[in-house]
Order: sequence, then C-alpha cells, then structure tokens
Amino acid sequence: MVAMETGINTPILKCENVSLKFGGVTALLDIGFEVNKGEIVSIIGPNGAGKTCIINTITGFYRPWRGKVYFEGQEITGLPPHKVCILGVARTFQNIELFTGLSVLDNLLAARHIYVKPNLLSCAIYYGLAQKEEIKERKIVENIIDFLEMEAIRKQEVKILPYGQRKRVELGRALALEPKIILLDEPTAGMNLEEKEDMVRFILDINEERETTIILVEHDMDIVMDISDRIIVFDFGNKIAEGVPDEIKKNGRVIKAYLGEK
Amino acid sequence: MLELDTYPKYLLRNSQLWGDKVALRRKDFGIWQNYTWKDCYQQVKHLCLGLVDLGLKPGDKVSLIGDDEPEGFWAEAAIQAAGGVLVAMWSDSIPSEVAYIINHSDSKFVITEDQEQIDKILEIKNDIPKVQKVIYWDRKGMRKYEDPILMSFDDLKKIGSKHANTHPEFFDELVAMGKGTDVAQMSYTSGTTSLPKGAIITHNAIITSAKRMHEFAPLNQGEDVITTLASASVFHQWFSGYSYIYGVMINFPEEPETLMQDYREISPRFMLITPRQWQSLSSMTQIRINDAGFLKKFFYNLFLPVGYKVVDLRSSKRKINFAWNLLYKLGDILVFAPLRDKLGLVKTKYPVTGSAFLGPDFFRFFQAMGINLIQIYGSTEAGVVSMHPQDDIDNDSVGRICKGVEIKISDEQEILIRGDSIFSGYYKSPEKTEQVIRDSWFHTGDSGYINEKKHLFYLDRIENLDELSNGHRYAPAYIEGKLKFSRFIQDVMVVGGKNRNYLSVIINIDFESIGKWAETNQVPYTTFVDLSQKEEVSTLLRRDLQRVNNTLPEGSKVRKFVLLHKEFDADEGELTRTRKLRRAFLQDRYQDLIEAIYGNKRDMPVITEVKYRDGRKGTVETNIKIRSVYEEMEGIN
Repeated sequence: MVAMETGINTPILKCENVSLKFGGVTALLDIGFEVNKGEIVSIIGPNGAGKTCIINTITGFYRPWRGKVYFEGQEITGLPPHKVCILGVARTFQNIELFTGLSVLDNLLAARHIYVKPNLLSCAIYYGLAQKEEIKERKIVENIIDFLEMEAIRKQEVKILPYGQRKRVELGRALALEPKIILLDEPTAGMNLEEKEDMVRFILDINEERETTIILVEHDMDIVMDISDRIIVFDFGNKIAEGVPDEIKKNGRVIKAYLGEK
Repeated sequence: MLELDTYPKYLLRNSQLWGDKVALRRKDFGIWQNYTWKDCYQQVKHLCLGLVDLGLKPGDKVSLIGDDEPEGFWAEAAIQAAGGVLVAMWSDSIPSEVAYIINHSDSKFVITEDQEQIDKILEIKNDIPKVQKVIYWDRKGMRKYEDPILMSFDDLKKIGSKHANTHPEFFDELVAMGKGTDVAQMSYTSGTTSLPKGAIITHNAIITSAKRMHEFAPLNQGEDVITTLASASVFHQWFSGYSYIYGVMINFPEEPETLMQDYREISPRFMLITPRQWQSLSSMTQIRINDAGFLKKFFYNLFLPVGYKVVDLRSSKRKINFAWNLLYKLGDILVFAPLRDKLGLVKTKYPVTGSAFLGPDFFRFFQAMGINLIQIYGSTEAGVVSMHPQDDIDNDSVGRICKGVEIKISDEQEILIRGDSIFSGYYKSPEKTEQVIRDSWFHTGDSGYINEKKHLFYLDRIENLDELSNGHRYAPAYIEGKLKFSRFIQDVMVVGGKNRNYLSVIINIDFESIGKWAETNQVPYTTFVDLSQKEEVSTLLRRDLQRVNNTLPEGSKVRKFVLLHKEFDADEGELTRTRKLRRAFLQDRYQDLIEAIYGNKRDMPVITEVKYRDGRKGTVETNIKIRSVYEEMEGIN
C-alpha cells in the first residue's frame, strides 16, 4: 500500500475482518482495509456488493457480526451512530435524509448540536451567553454556506429545493460536524453534468482546504478514476481488489465483476 | 484644493470629508458588511502602489474581468489613480473574446476574480504574451495553482503597503497628477457582426455623464443604491459617480443569484436595470401570483384592472374621479404596495430602464403597480444624452435632453451628439472613428426627433427608416409598435414608400378583445371576416389611430387604414416564426389592396387562398372596406 511504504501517514480508519450478516445472507465477509489521513479513497462495486453496508458499519448504523473497526487507533466497533459522529466521522446518505420542513440554515445549525452546550438558565435568558453561542455557531455555518455556494438558498425550506441542491445541503450538514473523515454515499447520483462538476470540485476543496479525509462510494467511473488516491473494489460482500486507479483499471477480477466472464 | 476631474481625486476628497462614513456595503456571510471611505482609500492606495511597483506606467492598460464586487470597484480606482487605463470585460466572455480584447488593448496586467476566470486566462496564456501578471481577489480553490504569472490581491497589497511606508505621500501625488482629459477607460462594444471596438473614454466624459444623471435623478450622501451592472457596462462607470461625487452608498449583492433577496433588504433609491430584467420582474410577478393562494389571487385580479384604468386615464390626461381614486388607493394598500415590497421597490425613487427597447405593455404594468419607469438614453460612445425627470415622464420619449448636451437631428433624421460626454475615438482604428465622428459630431446611427418640450424620441436604427415621395422619412416599426399598444390590434403593417405621399396601415384586429367588446356593446357578428368589416369596429379603431397620430410628427401621420379579413399567418409565410412581419412578401401579396388604397377606392373585393393546417387549400371572398382615419376626409380623396 502506498501510504505504508512512505510511512508518513498513519491510518485514520482501519477495518479488520469485518463481516456482516442479515439472517442467512452474508453482506460483508472479512473485509479489511485502511484509510490514511488526507486521502480520497473510493469504494466501488456492482449493485449489492456491500458498499453502503460498509459505510453503515463504520458509522455505527449496523453492528458487524465479526471483526473490528478502528478510528484514530480507537476501537469504535458497535458504538451507536451519535457517538461515532462526535469522534469526527460524518456521512451523507444515498437517499438524502434532511429535515425537509426546516430551512437550509436550520438544517446545518441542527448538525452543530454536538458542539453546543446548552444550559437551561442561559437559554431562558438568551441575551448574553446563549446569544453569543448562537452567533459563534452561525458564523461557522455561514462559512460552510459560503464554501458550498448556497447563499441563494440559505433561508429556503429544504422541501422546495431540487434534488441536486439537497445533495449539497447534505454535504453541508456533514461539514457542519467539522469531521476528520467524511463518508459520501453516492454524492453525484442523479445529477446532471454541471451539478456533478460542482460536486467534484467541492469534494476536492473539502479534501484540500479543510484537510478532511474522504471515503467515496460512487458509480461514476470518470469521477472515481479522476479524483481517488486509492480505490477499493467490492463484489458480493468481498473485497476483490485495492490499489491506485491505474492498477484497478487493468485488474482482471474487477473487469470480470463489472462486465462478466468472456 | 484639487480640481475634481477624476474619480480618484474624489476618493481623496471623500476620505478627508467623510472618512468614517460608510462608502459601500457588501453582503458576506449573510450580513451586510460596511466599508468606510477611509477603508476604500487604504484599499485603493495599496492596490495602486502595488501595481506601480510591478511596473504600471501612466497610459498602460489593465484588463478587469469578474463579477461586480468591491474588489473590482477598488481595482478600477487603483488603475485610474496610477494613470492607467481600465479595460473592463463581461465576466461571461468566452476565452477567445477575452484574448482578443486583452491583445487589442495591449493590456499589461489582468485583474480578475476567481478560479473560474483564472482558468479562462490560463487557457489563453500563450496568446497574450504582453500580459505580465494576472492578479485575482478570490483565493478559493487556488491552492494548487503555481503558475508564476498569478498573484493574489493580498500579495499585491503587501507590496503596495511596503511602498506606502517608504513613500507615504506618493499615492496622493500620483492622484494629483491625473487630468480630466486623460483616458480613464476603454470600453469594448460587443460586435455582433464585426470584431469588438474599443471606445476610448476620458475622465471628463465619464464625470460629465455622471453629473447629468444626477441632475435628473438627484440622490444624497448616505442614500442606498445597489450595483447590478457589470463593470464592462459603461453605465457602471456613470453609476460610480453617485458614489464618488455625491457619496451615495453602493451595495454589492452577495452573489448574482441572491440579487432578488438583496434588493428586498436594501430597496435601492435608484434602480437601473435592463429592459430584459424589467420583463423578467414582470413575468416573475405574474407567475408568483398564479401560485399564490386564493385570496391573494382574487385581490390581484380585482385591483390590477383598476390600476390599468387609472394609468390610462392619467396618460390620456383625463380627470380621475373620486371613485376611481378611492379604489386605486385601496388597491395600493392591499395589492400594489405589498408587491412593491416583494420586488424591493418600496424606497425606490428612480426605477430606470435603458439601453434597449421595453414594450409599452410593461410600462403600463409597472405603472399600474405604482412604479413609474424612467427612461435613460445614452451609449458608450455618446454618454448620457437624455433622461426623464421625475415630474416629466413621457412614455413615448426616451427622456428630456440633459443640460449641456449639444444635439441636432440631421437631414437624414439621425441623432447627432456633441459635447463633453462623447468618446474620443476607437482604439487603433482611426477609419472607424472617422465614420462616426465627423465635424466633432458623433453620429449615433439612431433616428429620432425632438419635440417642443425638449423630449427626445427614438424611432429606430437609421438603416430601418423608409421614405415617402415627398422626402419625409419615417420609421415603420416604430409606428407599428405604437399601434400594437392598443389591445384591439393584433398585428399591423405600415404601407408607404417612395411612390406614395402619405402613410396607410393594414391592420389585423385582435379577434378576442374586439369580439368581447362587440358582445358587451351589442354588435352582432358571425365570423372574423364579418367582424373585421363592421362599421362600429372601424370607429373603435379610428380612435386608436387618431391617438397614435397625435404623438407622431406631421409627415408620419397615418391617413388611411384597412381592417384585414384575416390574420397574418406564419404558416402562409406572412410572418416569421418569431412573429415578425415579412414586409417584402406582404407588400407583394397585398399589392392589389395597396393599389386600391392609393387609388382612392372605397372598397375592394378580395379572394384569398387559404392553406388549412391539414394541407387542403380553399378560398375566401370578401369586400374589404378602405377607410380614412379622419372621417371628415372620407370621400374627399
């Protein structure tokens, strides 16, 4: 593995023999990989390969049947989602999960709850402490709005936004957690070319300017090959390949998984 | 005290006079952030000295390309303070266009906004060898750009502030050296048919125009305006005068997309937007109303006709009685005032349109809502020529001629302008300059006339004019446009030409509105053909024709008219697909009818071929009546 050879980076996330079963169905089987700090790692594979399962397992939505997940050297296997998120792991969902009745701004502010320490007295008085805190949080959120160019929709309810913009709001909410790593589940699915280009630019900017590690589940191979440092390939719950984009393009097993036998 | 003949000199004055007062605001992170005159002075000073340090000499050209942001505003002043010439470009220009202008203008530096523009410049980098540095103000996404030609605003300002520390007086001296006769800007006109031409404009010309605008639309120090015009537009430069000369506060919207919300928050006192933007405001209003709840829709539909009625009464100078006034007041409270609020026009004193044609329907619509649109007439080359003062708005004219404008109408009916506001010539193109500036008169290429109240009327481009046998020149499209203002007229063609000595019109009635009118006035009819030839209908239209005639110069008055038995049809090749008249074809097709009009016949039988949509052909036979606009003349000729 690239990073291990250089020895500069330390793995920020590590999966060891992770297996996941739903009744008799094995969704993941002995998956093991590492993600280094600052990398963009893509997870690809045909439908039902287990890509979303591994994200759900890392973020605590599923509990693995066997194996361990480490984040920054600390074991997080089986921790509930809200605890994983406090540690600095954020995610977006394949099927957008936002508060549709709230404005974009409120959706992002809601994500800041893990940093806000409310106190009954100060909140009741509001002026002073609570106001100060709100201003501080609003500043952070406004920075994200600026970063993702959402000024024009700041005060709009999420339910009236088109799909592409909701995806952007989701990303914004993940950023509001100020995570160390973001897991993006098909961030460009269903988008047109221009929206895709914007999203890719945001992903790269998040990686570079906010120094955030990124795990990307994505079907668009042009995007994957273009921006990934490394790619991990899944098929039927197994990891069948791992490497830099050029290696993956030539890998026989990968081609077979995607295109079938000759 | 310096003679105030450049914007940088005004900047100097303002930083002393109004140092801690707010000069401009920009919305950033959701909040309006203030910049005082002192802040502006510092910014401009450091940018200017930075540019000088990089080698900018008086007379050097600097290209500017980006959205309208305070940084661009400061950069403009910085370039001019150093004696440089600003070459502003539209931010959506394509790379080849940008390359052409940078090269043609001999720009030494390029100042630009962000990654998007930088990518454009780097793409054409090899084609613009004269450019020494490309300076940008928005750092987002620029971390990995290592091209040595690039430099950030902050780095430039660092160089500048170092310079300022060693030579504290230098900037003020530099500004003092500028003269009003120096070139301030080169404005490239978008060439639809040819390559863009660079119009050279002096500080004097810009300031003259800015003062003219202020004369008819005065604003005071501290009042708000919003900038919506890209710096490439010459209007933008005149607009800056409000800020520099009069201390009006310019507000910069957060992003182009947030403009509507920002409007509403600021409600600018002076709002200059293009006819297209007024049109989209109007259609947006109608779309939103359609989506609105029952009650809102009900009141809107109830009071809009009241608004129209009052506007019509007002424009025909008839008395508005107490009942209408009361209704209109009520409509204003319930509908129009809230609408104006939504559009951000609550505090707007001068809603202005200019630079292109805006249909009369839009004027009526906005007037009904209590928004009295003002027109401004001017151009890059001519400067501000005319504008409507608040108390003297005439929808037909393009404004009253400003003080100090020397203007005359040539024998060809072309508008000629002379005076301080006109440009000095096209850069590197003396032959093109000679084509338009002759005997120090600038030939606008527009045709028009001036009335006794010193209002200027724009007819059409000079090449679209036609001539009667008596030598009178008239603008067919202009007259048609005015007639189409009537809701009873669907389409109309003016007939005249070199062989005739007066004008006639062939009219398509608007079947729907005349049909409705006939029903309410108990005029029985069967078909389109029947309705079009009714005596009552021609009386109705005679009134419209007389009204329009009253606004036309003597020779252009329409004498005879025909209400055609059918509508002009694109399927029959009479109109283009965009519903423009195909004049030559129509002249030919209705030649017999036209002969009959000028042969003083009273009517004429016609058999026209009609192509049905399914491809079949049929014929229609009718007797078309030829009528005079003035009944007393009926039968005389």
